[in-house]
Amino acid sequence: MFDSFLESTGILFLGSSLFGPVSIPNIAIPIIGTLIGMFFGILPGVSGVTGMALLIPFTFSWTLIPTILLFGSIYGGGTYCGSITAILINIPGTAPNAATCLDGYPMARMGEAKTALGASAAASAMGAAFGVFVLIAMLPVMRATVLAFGPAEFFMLAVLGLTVIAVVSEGNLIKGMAAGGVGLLLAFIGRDPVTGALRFTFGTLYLQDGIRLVPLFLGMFAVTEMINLAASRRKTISGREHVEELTGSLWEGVLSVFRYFGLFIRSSILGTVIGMIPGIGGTVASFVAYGHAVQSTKDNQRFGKGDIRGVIAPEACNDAKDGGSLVPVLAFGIPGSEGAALVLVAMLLHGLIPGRELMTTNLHLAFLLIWALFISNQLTSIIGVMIINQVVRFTVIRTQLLVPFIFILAVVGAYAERTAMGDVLLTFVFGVLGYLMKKHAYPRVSLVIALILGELFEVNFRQAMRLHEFGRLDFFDRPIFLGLVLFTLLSVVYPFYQSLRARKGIGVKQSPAGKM
Amino acid sequence: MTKKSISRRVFLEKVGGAVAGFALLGPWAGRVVAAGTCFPSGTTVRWIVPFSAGGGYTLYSRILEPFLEDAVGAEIVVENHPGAGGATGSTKLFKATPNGRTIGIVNAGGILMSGIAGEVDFTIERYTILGRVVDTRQVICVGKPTFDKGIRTIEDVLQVKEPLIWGVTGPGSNEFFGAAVLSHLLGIKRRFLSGYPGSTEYVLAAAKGEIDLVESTFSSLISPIEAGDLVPLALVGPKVPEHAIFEKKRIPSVMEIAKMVGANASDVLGAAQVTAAGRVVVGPPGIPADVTKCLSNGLYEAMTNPGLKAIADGARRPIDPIGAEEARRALLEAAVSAKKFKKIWQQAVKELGT
Repeated sequence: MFDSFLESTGILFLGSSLFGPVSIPNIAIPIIGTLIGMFFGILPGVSGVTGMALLIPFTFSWTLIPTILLFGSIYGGGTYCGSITAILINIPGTAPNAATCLDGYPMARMGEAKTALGASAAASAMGAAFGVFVLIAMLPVMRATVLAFGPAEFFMLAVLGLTVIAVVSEGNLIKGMAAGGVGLLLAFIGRDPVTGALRFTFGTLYLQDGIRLVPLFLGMFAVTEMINLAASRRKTISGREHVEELTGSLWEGVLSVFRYFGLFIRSSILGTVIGMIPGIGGTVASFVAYGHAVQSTKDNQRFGKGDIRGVIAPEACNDAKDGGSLVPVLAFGIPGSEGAALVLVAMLLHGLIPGRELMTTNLHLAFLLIWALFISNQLTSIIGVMIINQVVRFTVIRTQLLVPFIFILAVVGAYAERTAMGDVLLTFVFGVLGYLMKKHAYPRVSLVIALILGELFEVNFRQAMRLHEFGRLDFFDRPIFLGLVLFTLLSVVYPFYQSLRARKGIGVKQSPAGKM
Repeated sequence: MTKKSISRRVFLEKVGGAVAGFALLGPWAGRVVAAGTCFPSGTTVRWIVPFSAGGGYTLYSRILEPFLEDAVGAEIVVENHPGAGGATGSTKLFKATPNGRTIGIVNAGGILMSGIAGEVDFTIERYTILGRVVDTRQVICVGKPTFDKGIRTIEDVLQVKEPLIWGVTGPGSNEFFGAAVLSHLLGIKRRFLSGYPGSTEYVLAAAKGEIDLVESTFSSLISPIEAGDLVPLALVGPKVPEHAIFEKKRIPSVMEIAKMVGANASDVLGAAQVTAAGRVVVGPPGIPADVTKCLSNGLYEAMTNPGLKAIADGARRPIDPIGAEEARRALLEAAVSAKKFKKIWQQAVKELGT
C-alpha cells in the first residue's frame, strides 16, 4: 500500500500529461478542476455534477491520469462554495449546505460573517483531511464496512436524525412535533417507494417525484429570510452599513474549530461514516451532525441564533463525507452520491474498473483520486479565506438592492435543477410557508429534517420488517443496529435530563425553537 | 434555434462548457461542426434525456454527442429533464414541436410500463422512432451468499421449496416486469423485496445475502459478476453477451428454460422482448419524412462509427445499434407482449404491498 501511495505522489507532483501538443504538469490539473467545481458549486441549483457531466465528451481522448485528477478535484471543489452563500445570504449552494444556514446566516445578521466563514473554511479543510485519512485507513476493510449496513441500520440512522426535532423544539414541543408531522406528510407525497402507488399527486406528473429539496431549501431559507428582511425594514443583512463596522474575524472563526475540537472530530466521524453508506446522502449527514451538536452540548440555547458550533458541525461533516463517499465507489463501483456517480463514470469511460482490481493492481490510481480530492478540499478553503473580505460585503448591501437580487437568484436556482416551472412556484410556496412558520414560532428546521428523512425512514422500515418476516433479519443479531438504538435513546433522554436539571436549578430555559 | 429561445439552463451549460473546454485545451475544444446535412448550417438540436445527469442515459448521450453532430451537421445540446421515473422528459419529448430539432433518448421499456399502468396517455410506438442505441437485455443472477448455500444453477432455483427473495426497484421498472412475468411463466417460487433506489442497491443487498436473486442489464451487473458478488444463472433473451464469463460457462436462456419446464417459449420470448426494449432514440410524432430519414441515417452512421464503439467498449457501455425500421418493428412486438402480460404484472404489483 505504501508503495502505491508513493507512486501516486510521484505521478502527481513530478508527472505531466499531454493534451495535443501541450504538456501540462499533473499538479495543475486538480487546481483547474477545483476552480471548475467552485464555479458550479457556488451557483444555486447547479452543482459540480453538472460540470462533470459537461466535461465527459471533452475527456474522451485523454488518458486515465488527468481524467482521475480532474473529476476527483471537481467533486471536491463544489462542496465548500455552497457554504459561502449559505452563510452570507441564506441560500445553500447545494442541499448538504442547508444545515449551515441555520447558524451561519444568523451570524451574518449579527455582523459576524467573517467569523462564520473562517470557521467554515477551517472546518471544511480539516474535515476533508479527516475524511481522506479515514478513507486511506479504511482501504483494507472498506468492503466489510459497507456490507455491514442494511435496512435496519439505515432505519435507525433516520430515527436518530428525527430525534433532532425533539431537541430543536425544546420548550415548544407541540409546535416542533406539528412542524415535523407536516414534514413527514410532505415526505410521503409522490410515488410509494415500495408499491409504486401514487400518493397525493393530484394527477400531476410534477408531484410524482415528491417534494424536491432544491425548492424546499431555496424557499424555506432564502425566500423566507428575504421576506423577513424586507418586512423588518432592516437596512442590510448585518444591520451595519459599512464593512468596517462588522465584528468578528477570520482567525476567530478558524481558532474556534480548535476550541471545539471534540465536536469537530465527532462531526467528521459522522460525515465519513454516513458518506460511506450509499443511499444516505450529504444532506442527511449534515443535519444529523447539526442535531448531534445541539444534543451533545450543555449550553445549546444559542443554536439557531448564531452559534458557531452550528457552523462547525455541518461543515466538518459535509467535507468529511466526500472521503467517505468514495469508499463504496472504490470497493464496489457503487456511488454514494450523484457526484461520486460521475467520478465512477469517468473512471469506467477510461477503462478503470472499481472493486478488487482497483484496490489491488491499480491501487496507485485510487490514491491519485484521493490526492485530487484532498487538494481540491484544501484549495477551496484557502481560496475561500482569500476572498473573505470581498464576499462579506454582501452583508452590508442595502436591502432594497439585495432582496430583489436574491429573489432572482432563487428563481434561477429553482429552475436550473430540472428546468421545471413547478419548482419555481414551489420555492415561493415554501417561502411564504416558512415566513408564516417563523412568525408563529413553528420551527422550520423540524419540517425540513422530517421531509428529508421521511423516505429513508419509510423505505428502510418497510424493507427491514419484510426481511424480518422472510426470516432474513434478526434485529438482535446486528450489533451496529443495537448500538444505534442505544445511541438514539441516549440522544433523546439526555436533553430532557438536562432540561429537568436546569428547571430544578435555574428555571425554564429559553427555547431556540421559534427562531428557526 | 436562435439564441433568444435557448433556455437559461442551456446558456449556463454553454458558458460552463466553453470555459471548461478552453481552460483544458481538450482536443474537442472549439470543435467545428460539419456543414449541415439534415439542417441548415448553425442549427441546434435539443437532445432530451429524461433522467438525471449522473446516469447511463446521460453517459450514452455524451458519448454519442460529437459523432451525431458530425453525422447530422447540427449542434447537439444535451438537456436533462428528470422526473417521474423518466415520464416527465418523455412527455416533454412527445409534445415537442415535430420539426426534427427536438429528439432524445428514452427507456422504451419504462414507457411501456407507464402505458400499461395508465400513467401516460401515449405509447412508445407513437413516437417517431429514429433508432435504438442498445437493447437492455437482462441477466438473472444469484447473490454469492445464496450461491454458497447451494442455489448454483437455474435448476436449483426451480426446485426450491421456500420462495427465494427477488430484489427490485419498483413496479415501473423493466426488471420488475421481467421478474414478475418470467417467474410466473417458468414457475419460479419467489417473493419480491421492493424499494431499492437502483440496481446498485439491490446488487449490494444480494452481495450481503439479504436477497437471493436480481435481474438487470448485463452492463449494470458486469462489475459485481467479475468481482464474484453475483453469479449469472439465466439470460433473458436469445443473445449471449460478449464476455469471457459466458465463454467459460454456458448460461441458459429463459427460452431454453421454458422448454425444460414445459412453458410456452414464445410467451417467454415476448416477455424478454419487453425487458430488452432498450434505449431508443425518438422524436415527437409527426416529424416530416425527409427529416426523419436524414436523422435516422445520421444516427445509424454515428452509432456504427468505430471511434464511438471504441469509447463505448472502454466504458463498458455496449452499443448494439439497429436502424429506425427494425427498431420500430421490435417495439411494436414488445408493446403487444406488454399488453398480453398486463394482468400477471398487476398481480405481482399487488404482492408488493402485502
